[in-house]
Amino acid sequence: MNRCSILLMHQIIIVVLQGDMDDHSVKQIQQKALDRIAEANAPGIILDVSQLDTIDSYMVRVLTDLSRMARLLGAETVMVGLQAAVVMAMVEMGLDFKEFKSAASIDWALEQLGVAAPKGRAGEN
Amino acid sequence: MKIKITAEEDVVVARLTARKASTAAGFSLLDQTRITTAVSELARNIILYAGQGSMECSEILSHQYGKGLHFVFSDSGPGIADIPLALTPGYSTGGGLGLGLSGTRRLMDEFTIVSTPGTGTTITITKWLGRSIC
Repeated sequence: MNRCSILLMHQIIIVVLQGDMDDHSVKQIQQKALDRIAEANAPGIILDVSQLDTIDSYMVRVLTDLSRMARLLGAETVMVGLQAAVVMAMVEMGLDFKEFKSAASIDWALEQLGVAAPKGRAGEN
Repeated sequence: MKIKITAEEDVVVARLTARKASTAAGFSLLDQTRITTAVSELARNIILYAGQGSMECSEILSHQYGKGLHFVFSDSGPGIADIPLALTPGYSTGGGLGLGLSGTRRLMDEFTIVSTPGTGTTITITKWLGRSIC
């Protein structure tokens, strides 16, 4: 059951992870994302985890490995959408995403990756 | 309720069961997440180390703490020879981060391991509604 979307925007790979994925699917996404980074020569990857209501040590491991492999391919990772309850549980467990930055939204993530944000961004006059 | 844990997909079922049960019991979103994360770790450990086992989930009542959610994870796997070692953060025999057991213990209010090498392991965890502060 492979439920996720991988998009390419401004040369950046955006991976939108969906809830209820089993371990095998998560691994598949890691592989697919890496393939897409290599294909597109992407300088960055955004991991959208806003739909994950649980992040356990396995997920942390797979995403951390993905970010390490992405870096070797020349791509920087930014994570978007960590839910507050998830973050609190993670920190309590001793889990961390030390390997990469977080951003408040995909727009901010794109900015962090040095990509010009699209015009008409929400909240701007 | 009791579910069999025999394949990877069952870890997802365990998570969903935990999420549903903790919501129904009235836990805060944070506690629901703590419980679901703990369940995910322990259910996966059954697959990783024992191959198969089961999870039981029930609402319980305590004179001291009121309502609580109680889970029992059991398997007939190889067992844990050195429990304190297994509980050391960072220690893993399965190639993982080694934070599953120690992390679960921190997330839950009560945590017990009974394990006999060669026979199996039973891990019991409880979260009390009344002890929630957020």
